[in-house]
Amino acid sequence: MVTDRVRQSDARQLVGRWYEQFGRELLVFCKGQMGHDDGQEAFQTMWQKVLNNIEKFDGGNARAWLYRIARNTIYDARKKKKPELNNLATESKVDRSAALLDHFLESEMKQQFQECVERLTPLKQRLLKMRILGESYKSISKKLDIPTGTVGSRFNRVKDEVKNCVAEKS
Amino acid sequence: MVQLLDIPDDDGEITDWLEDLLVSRNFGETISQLAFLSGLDGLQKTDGDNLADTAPVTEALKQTIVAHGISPLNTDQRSVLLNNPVVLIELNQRIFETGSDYWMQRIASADAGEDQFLKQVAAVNFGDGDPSQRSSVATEAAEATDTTDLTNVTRLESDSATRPTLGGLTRRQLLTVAASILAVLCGAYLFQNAGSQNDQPWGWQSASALPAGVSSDRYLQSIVDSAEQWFDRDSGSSRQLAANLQSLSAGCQRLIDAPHQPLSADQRTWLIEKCRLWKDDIDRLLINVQAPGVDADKTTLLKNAADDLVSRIALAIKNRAEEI
Repeated sequence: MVTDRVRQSDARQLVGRWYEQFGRELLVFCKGQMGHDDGQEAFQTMWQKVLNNIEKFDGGNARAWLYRIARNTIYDARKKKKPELNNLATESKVDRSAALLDHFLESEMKQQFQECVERLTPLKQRLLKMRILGESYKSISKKLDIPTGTVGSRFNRVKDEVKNCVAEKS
Repeated sequence: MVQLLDIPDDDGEITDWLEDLLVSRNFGETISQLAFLSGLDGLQKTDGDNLADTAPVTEALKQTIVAHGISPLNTDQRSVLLNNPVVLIELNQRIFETGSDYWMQRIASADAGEDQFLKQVAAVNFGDGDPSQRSSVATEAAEATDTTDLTNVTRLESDSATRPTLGGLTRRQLLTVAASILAVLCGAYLFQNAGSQNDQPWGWQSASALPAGVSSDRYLQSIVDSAEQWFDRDSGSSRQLAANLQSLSAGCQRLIDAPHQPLSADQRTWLIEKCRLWKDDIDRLLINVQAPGVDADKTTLLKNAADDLVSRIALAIKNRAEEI
């Protein structure tokens, strides 16, 4: 009984040290994967799972073990919201990506961004898309047939238009 | 906030922007917006050129990014990345799971504003204060008082919280009694050991053990000096020896986990591999010290073995420092 209690205490201290070491980055990871609120919830749940399953830790790579629990917690939370995700082989990278994108498909921020971009003229949409997807001003100038010197200022105006639109909606 | 729209004007700054995006707490939101822009939405492929066409980003390139960031990429490779949300999602997970020095520094510098939430979760799971020093018994006692205002934090019930009540006392009453007994026992223990224990971190756990911005030989020498603080500790009783070995082991773990920025990759690998071996030796000694029936003679033998181990550790690091 005493030994069990001591063991529990040691385990909790070990997890406490992991929390200090990895907690902050795991919170960023969870929020990045789930958004603010769902990410916080997943973060809390994963630490409870860590505490409850510490006896299964084989003494190997603590980082890998913690992230495996975080990832599984995130999948479980997504499955709860979308039971059809049960059918996904979640270790496949395409399915992982699909699950993440699906989670954010109807997020307010994404919807607002989409609506604001769709309001732009086709030329502005192309300019925004080309620049954000990595094309240089020079390449955009050539493809859209606009002077190189004006691409930057035009792009900045488009950015401002979308930013203002999103700000109005939120 | 739409992080995508913070893309800088200067092409030279896009690397920073993309790296921030990859480890951002808004990663999912941003990727969903990027996917929309690139013609991909949710599970639907609307632009066949983009989603599954991950071939241009080779495994070697991904490994480079996971270890060293985006800067080794040329403009075309960067553009391919931005057109492949699937690859970005894979990279995000690998970056966090691998935890390379490069990315950990970026995550640390980009991260802010979560302290309160982190403290709240720590309070729920480990009790107030330093989570690494909190025992389960003390946590239960803290739960009994239940005074923490955690408006944004769900209380996560542990197994102990669901235990049935005994003898007509509620769980809270039982825990309050247990906490009182614990407090008396702790007081007696502290009185008995007053002056014999120093709670200040020492050795590899001290703040000065791993100095920043120094040369690699100075850095290793600092680790040697910290190790030799072992000999300043009082390890006369088995209890003191066990406590000191525990600190030494925790310090060793700190060495295993630290980024060791002043060291080269080879030096870092050497140190971490050695530390893993040393930690095993320390933990074995600790198990022996904590075994039932350890008398004064055995304690002396174990202390001598620990002294010898620390001497060997210090010598090995000193030799390595002199090779530089």
